[in-house]
Amino acid sequence: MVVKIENLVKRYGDLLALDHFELSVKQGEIFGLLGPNGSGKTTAILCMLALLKFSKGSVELFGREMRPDAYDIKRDIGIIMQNVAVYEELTVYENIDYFCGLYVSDKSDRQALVEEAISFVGLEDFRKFYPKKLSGGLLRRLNIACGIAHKPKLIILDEPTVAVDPQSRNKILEGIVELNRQGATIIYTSHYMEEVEQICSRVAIMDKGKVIASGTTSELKNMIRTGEKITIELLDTAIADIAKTTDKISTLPSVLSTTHNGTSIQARSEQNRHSLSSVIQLLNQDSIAYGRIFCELPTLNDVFLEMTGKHLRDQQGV
Amino acid sequence: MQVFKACLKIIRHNLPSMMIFLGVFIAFVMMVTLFNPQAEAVDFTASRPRMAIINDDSGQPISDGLEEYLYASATPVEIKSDSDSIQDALFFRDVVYILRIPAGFGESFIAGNDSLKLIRTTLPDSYQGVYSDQLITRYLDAASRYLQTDSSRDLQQTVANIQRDLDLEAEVTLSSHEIDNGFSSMIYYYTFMAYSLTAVMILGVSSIMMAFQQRDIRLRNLSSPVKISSYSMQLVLGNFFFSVIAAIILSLASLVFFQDFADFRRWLLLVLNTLIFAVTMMILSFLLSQFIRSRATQQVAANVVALGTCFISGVFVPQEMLGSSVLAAASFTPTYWYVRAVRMIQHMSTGGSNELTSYTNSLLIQIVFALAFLTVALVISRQRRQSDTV
Amino acid sequence: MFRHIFYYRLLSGLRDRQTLFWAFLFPILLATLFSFAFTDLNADEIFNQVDIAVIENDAWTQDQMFQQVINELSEGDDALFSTQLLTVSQADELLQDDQITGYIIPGSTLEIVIKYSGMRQSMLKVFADEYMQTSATIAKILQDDPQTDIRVLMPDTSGMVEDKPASSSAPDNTYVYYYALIAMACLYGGFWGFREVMAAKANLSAQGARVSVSPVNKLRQFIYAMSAAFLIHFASIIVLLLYLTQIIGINFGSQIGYIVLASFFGSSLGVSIGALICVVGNHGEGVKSAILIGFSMLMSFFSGLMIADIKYVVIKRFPLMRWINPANLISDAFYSLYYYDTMQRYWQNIIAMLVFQLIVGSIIVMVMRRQRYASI
Repeated sequence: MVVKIENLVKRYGDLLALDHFELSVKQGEIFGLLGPNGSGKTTAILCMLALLKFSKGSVELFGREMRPDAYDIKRDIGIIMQNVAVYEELTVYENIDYFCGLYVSDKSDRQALVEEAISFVGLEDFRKFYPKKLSGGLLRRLNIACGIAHKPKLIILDEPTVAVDPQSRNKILEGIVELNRQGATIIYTSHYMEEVEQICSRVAIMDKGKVIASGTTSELKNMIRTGEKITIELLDTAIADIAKTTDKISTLPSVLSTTHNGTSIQARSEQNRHSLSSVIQLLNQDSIAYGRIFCELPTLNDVFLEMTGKHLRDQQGV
Repeated sequence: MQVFKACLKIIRHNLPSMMIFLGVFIAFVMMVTLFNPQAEAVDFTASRPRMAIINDDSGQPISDGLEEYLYASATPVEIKSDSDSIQDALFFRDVVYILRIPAGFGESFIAGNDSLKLIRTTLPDSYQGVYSDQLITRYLDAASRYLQTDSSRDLQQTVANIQRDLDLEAEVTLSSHEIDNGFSSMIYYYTFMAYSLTAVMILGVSSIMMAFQQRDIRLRNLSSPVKISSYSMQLVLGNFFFSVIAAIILSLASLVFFQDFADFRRWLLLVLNTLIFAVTMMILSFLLSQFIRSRATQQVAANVVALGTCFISGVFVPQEMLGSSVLAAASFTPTYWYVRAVRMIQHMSTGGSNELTSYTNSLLIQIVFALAFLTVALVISRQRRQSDTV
Repeated sequence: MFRHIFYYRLLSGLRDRQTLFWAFLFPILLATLFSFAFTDLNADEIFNQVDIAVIENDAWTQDQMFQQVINELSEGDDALFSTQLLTVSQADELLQDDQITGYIIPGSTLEIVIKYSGMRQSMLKVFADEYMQTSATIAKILQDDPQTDIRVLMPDTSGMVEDKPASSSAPDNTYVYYYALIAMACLYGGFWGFREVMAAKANLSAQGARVSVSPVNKLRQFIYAMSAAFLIHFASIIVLLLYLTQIIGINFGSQIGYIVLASFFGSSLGVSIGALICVVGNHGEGVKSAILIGFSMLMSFFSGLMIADIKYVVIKRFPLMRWINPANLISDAFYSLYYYDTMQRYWQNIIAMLVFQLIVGSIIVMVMRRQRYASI
């Protein structure tokens, strides 16, 4: 086990930020910590790094207890926090060199490492730029380079892609996978489920300071009753009957639940059952005019939704 | 009025810092007023110099008479006579004048011999020192006159004569009602307030403006359909609000500390002057804050401008002690005119219309300064709408 | 590791152009303003002619001697007075309009009418007192022996007093201002310390969080970084000293080694106090920076920066202020070097600075060593 957190309790005044939080991460994993804003992801990371006091519980990294002065453990960790942590007055190269220098004292070793980190994040053309002159995406990449230049065995990324353009985001995600391929264990927190689904081998879903489920993406999806989601867009002539049609669909044996809004109906199938053909049959039978019908597999958001009754991100909740 | 409202919110958000600044500067004004170290400098005959006399010639009537006369006009201080103690005493102003009367001085003086001298250790250029010198000269002059003409050599009688003569004093009449002590402290309070207000305005206004100067906020504001002149004027209005509040707080504080002060009319004139000065300095700070981007620059600006203008305008050192070139330079600052207006109120007699005119002129000049600063500030903010880099 | 951190913190400080520029320039600007304001402060020009009036009454016409004295004092280029002979109502009018400082009503007791007290008014009073006293003496002598030759009655005793300076250097109030200015420049070094704490503490900045998880002892990192901050600030103090001695012409005594030592401790104390203010408490950056500014200004004020005499008044009322006001310790170290013949005072101030430094340093270390935060 690279990371083993047991029974962690952290309070901010009356607020219970971590409620008997448990986590274990194995060597070589890309572990996703998924949860909405304020669910305790960052707090968990900061406790894990011994930056925050906690009232109860234990943190072990690489099989040893993590303490503020556990420098031999710290040597193998790289962190990339959600706030960009670089010095305004230092250039791209100098920033990476500075932070790398806290881990690697030999100058020529370090030079090689810094160069490698620069090309890894694709900042070759920006060596002498000051952070101020970098675009948001490039700045994030610099932030990452500062955290990984010393080739840590455990890399913790706390929402590294917040407010990043798609191009930089893809570059960052590819980079993380590459780091993992080179042997690093990764902990990745995000509230973007797509990213987590895309790169993580294992995922823990957090809510209100607790892990409410963990496993591989497919394991998580199997935990819930929802299978595929079918969306039917009705044509104008049929909209008057939308409520009636929705009711009818919900009576189909494989359908778990239905909702409708204005012009379309959504039906959720039960896990491992397919309802598309029976839905179409029903529509045809009743001569209901429809436009598009499409079918989606469940996402982690559905997992979260079913477990907590909430959406992962506010903007999704329509 | 969105910008104005935002401005007020930022002021509220910055309230703790503002309170610290105001608190510190109220403390300044209070302490300066209570200790009032300038009073002696202005009227040195009223002060009794702190003097130590080491009389090695005691028993000799002329020497004893000198000691007695000086002690009657001074505040006697006992000091140890070793060099370290003397240096200490002078260093901490425990004593400003140390006079040693050497053994045999009296006899030598009577003989008309000037080889044996009194030995003085003093703070050069101090008014009390100059005044002490004058007292000694008076005694010695009188003694010399009597000794040269009086052949009886009745030294006791001579000393008595000297004492009697030196007791004489001209009678002083003050034609204005300035004797009121509360009022002179009040004047001192308002003079020194120029410093507090300047510093508070620069620190406060630049704190407020820093929020608006942030790159993204500035860009967002500049790209909004609010006209630049309206935008700037709303900011000025927000800061205006702040400057008036600060001036009122400082003015009310003066009432708390000088409750027995009764001349309400003159106090109102002081307050009016303060309000105008506060607004003028606010606009100057508004102008300066276009160039202030960091906390470090902020404190530098506050220090240089507040200390600099106050030094040359006669806030710390009275105007009559400053050289004419300094005062000429100072007249290009609003602070000079603020201090002048305060002095006009101080010397305002019941009937004199002269001071009132000078007072009004000083206010008008401050207003002209305010308008000039405002124009420059608006031109600069207009020009800074577009720049090479953001 | 020291070299690595020191180098980069130094680089980072030197690149913070705006802060750096002002840190170096602003004490120099103030020193220049001071020297400008003081140009005429000690010059004789202050005592230019005093405009007075004498009331032309019976006593005046009868008193030949008084007329003679007034005329003598009102003649020539270096005349003390510029005198007009007027009636009471004329004189009153001029007095109200501030055209004259005051007027004298001759009589057996001279009466002086002034509008308010002030320096010139005091000079008028001193003159009247002396005239009355001298004329009383002369009258007495003439009364005892009417044959006396009045000419011998104008003795000159001004040579009867000789100066024995308290030290080889005269105490000079303008120096208090400059020394207080150095003290203020030292205290404003607090911003460099402030900056390092911001960069080092995980609960204050993202950079702080990053260095806190690195395998280098946090306290050691902080001390290395503080040395860089100190070096920059110390350099600015040295530049200020050079400016004061070489351009303005302030005398610091000749012992360069001691001057540098005092600057060294003063600068280090200032930087540490800034760090201390930043390190304690949970207020925002704005409030902490306001505390730092307020503290520096107040302490400089107590050490005589604005009004030199405040220094002595404060020390007299609150003797402890002499030892607990860092600005006072710094300025006194310089002053005692210039003024005292022995080094005792100097060392007292240096030791007090060291004690102060140790206390401030221990508090910073205690807080910085707290390695986990309650909240970030």
